[in-house]
Amino acid sequence: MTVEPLVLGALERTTETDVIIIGGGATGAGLARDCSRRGIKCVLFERGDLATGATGRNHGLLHSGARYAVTDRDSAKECIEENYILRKIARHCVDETDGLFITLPEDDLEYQKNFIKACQDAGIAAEALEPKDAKELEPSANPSLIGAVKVPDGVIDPFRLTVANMLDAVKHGAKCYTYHEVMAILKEGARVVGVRVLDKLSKEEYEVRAQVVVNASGIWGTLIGSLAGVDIKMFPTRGTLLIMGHRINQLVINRCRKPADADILVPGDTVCLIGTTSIPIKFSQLDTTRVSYQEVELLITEGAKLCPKLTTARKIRCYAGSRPLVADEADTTGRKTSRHLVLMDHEKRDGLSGFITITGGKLITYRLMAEKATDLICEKLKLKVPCDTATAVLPGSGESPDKILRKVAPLAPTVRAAIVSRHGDLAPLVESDTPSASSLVCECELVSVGEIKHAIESLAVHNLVDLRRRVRIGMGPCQGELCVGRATGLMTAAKLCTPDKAPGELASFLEERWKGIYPLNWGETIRESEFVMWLYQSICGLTRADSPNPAPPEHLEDEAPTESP
Amino acid sequence: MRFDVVVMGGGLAGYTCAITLLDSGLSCALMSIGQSALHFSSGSMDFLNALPNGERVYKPEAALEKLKELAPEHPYSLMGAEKTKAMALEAERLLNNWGILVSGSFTEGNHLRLSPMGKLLPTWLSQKDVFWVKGDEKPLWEWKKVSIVTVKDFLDFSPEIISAQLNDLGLQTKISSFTLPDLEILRENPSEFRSVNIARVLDKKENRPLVLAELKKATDCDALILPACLGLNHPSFISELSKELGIPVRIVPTLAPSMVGARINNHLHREFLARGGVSMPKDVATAYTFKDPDAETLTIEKIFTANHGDIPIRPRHVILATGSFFSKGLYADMGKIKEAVFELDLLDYPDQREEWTKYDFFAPQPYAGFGVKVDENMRTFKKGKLVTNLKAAGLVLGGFNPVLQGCGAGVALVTALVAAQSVLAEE
Ligand SMILES: Cc1cc2nc3c(=O)[nH]c(=O)nc-3n(C[C@H](O)[C@H](O)[C@H](O)COP(=O)(O)OP(=O)(O)OC[C@H]3O[C@@H](n4cnc5c(N)ncnc54)[C@H](O)[C@@H]3O)c2cc1C
Ligand SMILES: Cc1cc2nc3c(=O)[nH]c(=O)nc-3n(C[C@H](O)[C@H](O)[C@H](O)COP(=O)(O)OP(=O)(O)OC[C@H]3O[C@@H](n4cnc5c(N)ncnc54)[C@H](O)[C@@H]3O)c2cc1C
Repeated sequence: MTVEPLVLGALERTTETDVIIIGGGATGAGLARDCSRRGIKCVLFERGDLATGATGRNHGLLHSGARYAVTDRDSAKECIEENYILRKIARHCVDETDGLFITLPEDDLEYQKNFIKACQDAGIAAEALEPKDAKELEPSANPSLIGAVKVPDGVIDPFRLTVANMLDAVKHGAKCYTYHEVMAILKEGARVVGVRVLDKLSKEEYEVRAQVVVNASGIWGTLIGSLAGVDIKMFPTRGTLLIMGHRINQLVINRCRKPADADILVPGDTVCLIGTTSIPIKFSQLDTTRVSYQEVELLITEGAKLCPKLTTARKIRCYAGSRPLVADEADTTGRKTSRHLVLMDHEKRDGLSGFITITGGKLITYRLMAEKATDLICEKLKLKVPCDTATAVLPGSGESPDKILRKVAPLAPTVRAAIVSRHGDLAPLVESDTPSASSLVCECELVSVGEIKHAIESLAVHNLVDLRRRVRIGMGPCQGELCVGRATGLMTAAKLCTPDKAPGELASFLEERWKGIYPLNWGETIRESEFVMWLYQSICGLTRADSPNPAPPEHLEDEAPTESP
Repeated sequence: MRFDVVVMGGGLAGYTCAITLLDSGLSCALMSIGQSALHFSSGSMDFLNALPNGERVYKPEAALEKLKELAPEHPYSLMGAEKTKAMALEAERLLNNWGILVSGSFTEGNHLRLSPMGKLLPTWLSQKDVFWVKGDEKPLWEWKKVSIVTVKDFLDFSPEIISAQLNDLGLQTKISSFTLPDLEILRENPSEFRSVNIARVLDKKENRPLVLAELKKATDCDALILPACLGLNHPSFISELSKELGIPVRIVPTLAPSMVGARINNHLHREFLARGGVSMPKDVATAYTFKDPDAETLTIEKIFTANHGDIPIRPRHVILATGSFFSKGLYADMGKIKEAVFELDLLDYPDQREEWTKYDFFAPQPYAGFGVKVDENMRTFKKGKLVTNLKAAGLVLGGFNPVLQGCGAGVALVTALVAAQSVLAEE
């Protein structure tokens, strides 16, 4: 069977469609998939690259729902249902690791009893383990644990998931425009009729009309709401995560107590992540959030309680995202937030037709959010087509890995495994049968020239940072040292950037990289930092003048955060 | 084991010091744990390209006084302009004596080298076969049209990027590439296709005529530019090619590993062995004792190493040339910076980790200037006490930002020579 090529990225402009989706996170991509599969013409606008909002800045935990079982049974149920759906439809994005909820001597063992009961009530298989067995199952867990419960947590790769949804959407006729920012919502009377977008690459603005406009812009939903003149109250809260340079744990490790800071350690591919913090911020800080040195220290101290090895493990990067927490509209004090997905029909809520908001929820509930929103769109368009996204498998997840492995046989076994893990059954689209194509660009993550070419040609890559999201180049322990230099050359050869812009491309990548590294300035990380500084600033001679970006201020004005929800 | 001198660190500073001391008749052992900075360097040596305030330097000699005002702890400032100059000239003489043939001169001022990103950057010394051009800000080209010939599918060198930059600087360019049967074999291992490995193939005697034949196809120009992936084990290869082709051939450093840098390191190693130096590769000090730890000044008595178990080395002098963080001469934990072997006193650095780095990638990074504190004779201190027989040299020292100021190799060479002098003065 040959694999049908799928290409992301629409070159021609669209001026009219049925549905406009604002936001290219998991929710927006899921929505584009659901709409297009139901035969609805749709166009997605994302102001940056796919998965650059909360979707690309989260923990990647395929929640079993256990975390919410005690406090929020409805959320827990949603999670476990979607969890099992994603294992089926998105298997190349999921790692079925299972998770442990451990009780430490300072925690209350009573909580464990309630916890197991609450899990069972929500339909989550929760199995209490003897401490000895738990330690055998997950040797990296804190050996002083006094109790442990095994639950069906897992890991999900948000970048792969978003791209797979978008690929399926495009296959069914959707159009995807990255680097397109919605600047205005067009209204005629009490009806939304389209949007005005800015193409950030060509710097041109144009209008696009549609019957329904969907606001799927996560925490930015408030801002899109205000463009349309509706008030959507949200509470931006920053969560920070820290990545370790190797995979310490095989199972997700959680703390069995009320959710708190730094109490989840999630393994992922070749690394693992500890998180998160939770700090209320202002909307004006959304795009400038920086990880503080204090947050990094807190993550390490708290994280070491789950897994003592964390203290000495090499830290490779930290980053922060903002949760789309929506005010609970049923609560009169206006201070409570909802963990649930929030679907707003602005016609009913605000008397503004043709406009829908879908936000809140979690990464793992993206499909359900898309389903609910598409149901509402169908109602508005007077269509009756059932949703099939819970059963239709995503591109990449069709065939089993061992079958696909055979199709990319010419590559070295490790490289083959890496490509199949990233592209699933689309891996045969990656050229692999010539020595030039199988030459390695990134040795940490085993990325070949062929894979980079594939991403550049078919996966809507516009720069080195996009490339990082598509093929994990520069995501491994070295965070992109030599491989980015090589990739710059390849992008130039592929005419994705003109040779005179290449130093600027590289400079931008290095600046982006540094944002995740500057607070980790000790141990191995400072060595690597020094090397990168030598290599690109001294040997290659890049300076601020090469960068297309202005110098960032050294300190942000310490804005007082908004009242906490 | 008794040696007059034990050198820790086999980089530019360590070898320079060791070879000089061997030449003065002292016995010398050199320990090194890993590849030095040279293996990743441009292969050109910088002396001083800019002052701490960012002002560009064309003639280092003329800038030393101003440097002293702006950076009193800079090794050049410690030893003073006169001595710095004398040592710079001595370094030029020694390198050429040792057979590391370099162009450029301290008295004439900086010239320009070509970077892997196609930028012309100031530097002090470049190896003879490396692409360089006279000029301070603007290059004074002797050529109009150059051919850039690369190895097919070699990823650590982008002829397109270099060509675009050279065009901007007024040179016409032409790009071509070649491959050889042996390279096709090398390529079968996907991670082997790097400069140093390619050089091992191209340098082979039987491949030289093939290389020549390939390059002949691109000689309709004033000069040939190649990525630095030939001439590693056969350093005169490039000049021979020049002769046979009848036009200048120059190499340009690639992304790491750096063949041009590795070549210098290999050369220094051979010179060291040729003078009877004792090499202790992959060995590292694990413990040491002071003669009288309570005395006013400290003197190292014994050094125990990983490979020699409980047999100590009893050196009369120790040279610390272990490099910076990258080479593990310095070490940072979450609260402190340490000199890795002896925990020597460092120049003051901020207590707050926040102040070690800047948020702006392109801003001068404070940690680049951290390092060991020395006096004008490169003598070191521990807990405020002089360590009488321990001198430090090279990037392990503090007080300068070698990236911003472009002074890495200059400091390594000059401080190594001063450290050697100070050992000899005590002998
Ligand atoms: C620290 C942290 C950890 C988390 N951990 C988990 C977890 O482990 N598991 C889990 O299931 N969930 C987790 N979540 C929640 C999850 O990340 C989010 O709920 C989910 O990613 C939201 O997806 P989205 O598509 O709705 O929003 P987003 O991913 O934020 O997408 C919104 C998009 O809209 C774009 N946009 C904004 N304005 C405009 C405009 N004007 N024009 C065009 N585009 C625009 C943005 O660029 C962005 O890409 C976590 C969240 C955080 C912050
Ligand atoms: C990546 C990089 C690129 C550079 N490029 C240039 C350039 O292009 N031009 C320029 O002028 N300058 C450059 N520099 C500056 C460079 O530091 C100097 O030019 C010079 O090479 C430094 O020499 P050194 O001997 O002080 O240190 P290094 O070259 O770092 O050598 C130190 C050696 O000591 C070894 N070592 C460390 N600890 C121990 C121990 N405990 N026991 C035994 N051995 C030990 C290390 O393994 C290493 O081999 C570069 C520096 C770096 C880090």
